[in-house]
Amino acid sequence: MNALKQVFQRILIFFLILALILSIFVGILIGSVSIEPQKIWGILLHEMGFPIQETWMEGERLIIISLRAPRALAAAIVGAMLGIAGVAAQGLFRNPIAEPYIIGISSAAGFGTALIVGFGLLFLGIFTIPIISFTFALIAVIIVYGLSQTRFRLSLSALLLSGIALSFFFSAATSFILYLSEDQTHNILSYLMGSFWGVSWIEVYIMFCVLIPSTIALFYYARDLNLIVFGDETAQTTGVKVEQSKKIILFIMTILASTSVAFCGSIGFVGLIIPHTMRLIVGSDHRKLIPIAAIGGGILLVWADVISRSLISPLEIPVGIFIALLGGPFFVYLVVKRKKGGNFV
Amino acid sequence: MIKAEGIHFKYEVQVILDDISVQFEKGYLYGILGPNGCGKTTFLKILSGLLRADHGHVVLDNLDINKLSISEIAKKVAVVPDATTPIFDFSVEEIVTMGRYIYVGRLTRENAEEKKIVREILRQFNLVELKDRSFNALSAGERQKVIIARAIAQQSKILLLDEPTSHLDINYQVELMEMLKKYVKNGLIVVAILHDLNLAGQYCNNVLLIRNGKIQAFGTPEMSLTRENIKLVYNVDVVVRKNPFTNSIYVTPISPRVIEANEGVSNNLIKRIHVVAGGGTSKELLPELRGNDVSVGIVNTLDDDYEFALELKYEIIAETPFSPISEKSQNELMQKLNQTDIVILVNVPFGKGNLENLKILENCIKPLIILEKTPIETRDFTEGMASEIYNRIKSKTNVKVVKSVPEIMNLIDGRSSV
Repeated sequence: MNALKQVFQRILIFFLILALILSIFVGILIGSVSIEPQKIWGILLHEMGFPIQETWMEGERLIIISLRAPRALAAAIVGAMLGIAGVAAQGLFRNPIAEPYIIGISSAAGFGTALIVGFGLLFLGIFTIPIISFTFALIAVIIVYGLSQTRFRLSLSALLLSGIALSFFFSAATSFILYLSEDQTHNILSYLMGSFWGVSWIEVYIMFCVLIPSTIALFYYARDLNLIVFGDETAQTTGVKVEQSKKIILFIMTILASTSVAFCGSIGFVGLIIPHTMRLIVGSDHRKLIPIAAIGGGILLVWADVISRSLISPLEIPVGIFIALLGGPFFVYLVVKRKKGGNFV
Repeated sequence: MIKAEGIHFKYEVQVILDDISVQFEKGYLYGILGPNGCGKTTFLKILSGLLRADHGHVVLDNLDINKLSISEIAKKVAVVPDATTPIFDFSVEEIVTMGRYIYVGRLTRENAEEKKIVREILRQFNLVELKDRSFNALSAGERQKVIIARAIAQQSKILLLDEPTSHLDINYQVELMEMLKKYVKNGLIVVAILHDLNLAGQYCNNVLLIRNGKIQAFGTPEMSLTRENIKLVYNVDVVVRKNPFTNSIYVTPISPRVIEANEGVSNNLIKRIHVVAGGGTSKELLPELRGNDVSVGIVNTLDDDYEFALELKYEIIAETPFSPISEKSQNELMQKLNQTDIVILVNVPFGKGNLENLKILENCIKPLIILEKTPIETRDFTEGMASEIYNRIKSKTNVKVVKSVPEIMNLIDGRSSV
């Protein structure tokens, strides 16, 4: 790493952090009701306890504090979770097209959601859907894990294959529910597509409390991931407790992905694109990649949410659809770039 | 010191390794050789703790490897696997730094001391200029150097390598082996699976030859890589010779065609023929004589004629190069001349070293064919001594002088009398 490149990288990282903060602010600024930026600053600072004279109406305050702020923060947090989970998935599976949902997390969670919404079984109040979808995601991972764990080692290829098989199974089951419950179809679909609509502060807190320890934990295993990319045997002979590390990394990935799916539905492509894009900037060293993927994922989802709710306002495009529309072409671009002789980042 | 004691390994019902006991000492470069599937990679994996033997122990510095933790093993044994293709791209320096895994805390960065170690290793491997380059953009030889540098960065006492030189150009093969040799001199134990017998012959202190999961031979290249062992292990016929410059052995395969030609010829036509050759002058004749009971000599072991004769599996009376013909060889030749049906003297140049051949021929009473392509004077480097004897031989009655190989063949086949 020569000095110039290092300086360049530091500046870039600084700007990315700045961009994340600004993006969140823009996310709060933009909405169907227009509120001036000074008012928003005032409301935010007032909420933080600064003595600022109230020039705004109570309705405006409620829009900012109860609707927009948690929504923008949730987008940033989910983006970070998916970005990191994507880094973990691609490193763990040594596969550039791996993503956190690959072992069946999102389709299992989706099935759980469809079941609840389709049959009107909201027995746990507003937390029914998060709890059920999180539980289903965990069940999927446990099944897949059980199928892949042999006496000595966790087989990653078995994990991938059984994950894909399970995904198909749950997707088919979800489609079946959709088919059965005609009147609820739209309702179910809006949950499945993934959106930040109506996110509450409590959800933001919970996600934040999952994100921070998970990030630190994964960062703790960053150098293990570096070596796992070279293969289990290389990792072990270099001193990595491979089997243990693989399980822990898989666990962190599962928690991150399941939590985001539980609260905000299945938002695809972030876990795929963010690791690739961030590798272009900082290289493959996971010690740099993990924090930068968190920031990058956050920025991407905040903007995706802003655009998806203002593009055909007052209608909202579910952010999951918007990201997929964006991600498809981007991925094609990466493939073409690789074909032209470049490295697959 | 790393020791394998009675290693057995089974994969399902197939026995891969059967009672392997061997000890590797400090300051030696060991080669493990054997055909594909003989169990050598499995053995290396057992030595590195990646696989557990069904029976037997691997002992590292008097400790059973199975009782050591992964990081304790990594401090003692570093491994270079046979192929390394990371799916994501790292820089050369990042990869070499990964070798320091066991020495660096999880949440700390490499300190100055660590960076110094990595820099020094990059320097030793001539990788300083490539340190920021991406691994996947390097040539196969450079990549292999990076991977070995990472293993060296582990600062272990033992380095195990699985076919480090396969797919490499010869310049990288030599560079890598020389580098390993240097580390061996500094006290490293190097154990490498090699597929190239000659590279092993040249660089290894000891060669472990494995056949069907058992030790066929273990010792110096001269002891292990014998013609018989190689025939047993690889089922090919080879010629094993010594390189006079490096004093290391080298192995040349013989094409199966030659062997087939020697077999399947009916016995009643076989004649016993002795050829006095030297300086590569018999290369036209020797293949023509196939199917007969041919002997050649006296030639020295560096002579082309020696090689031809060896390749054709003829009997040879040989002498070490750059030395006068010994009495033993002289007696052998005289005996041979008594037993043989026909003697052929080809267009040999004579010097002091092979003059004895002529002296012995002078007393030969068997039919003698002389192939004379150039006058004896033009190939006499003995100040006339050879010419004198040669001319005396030519005047004898049992001698026939011819100008070409077909003429010799006519004589041997009995179409004209000798």
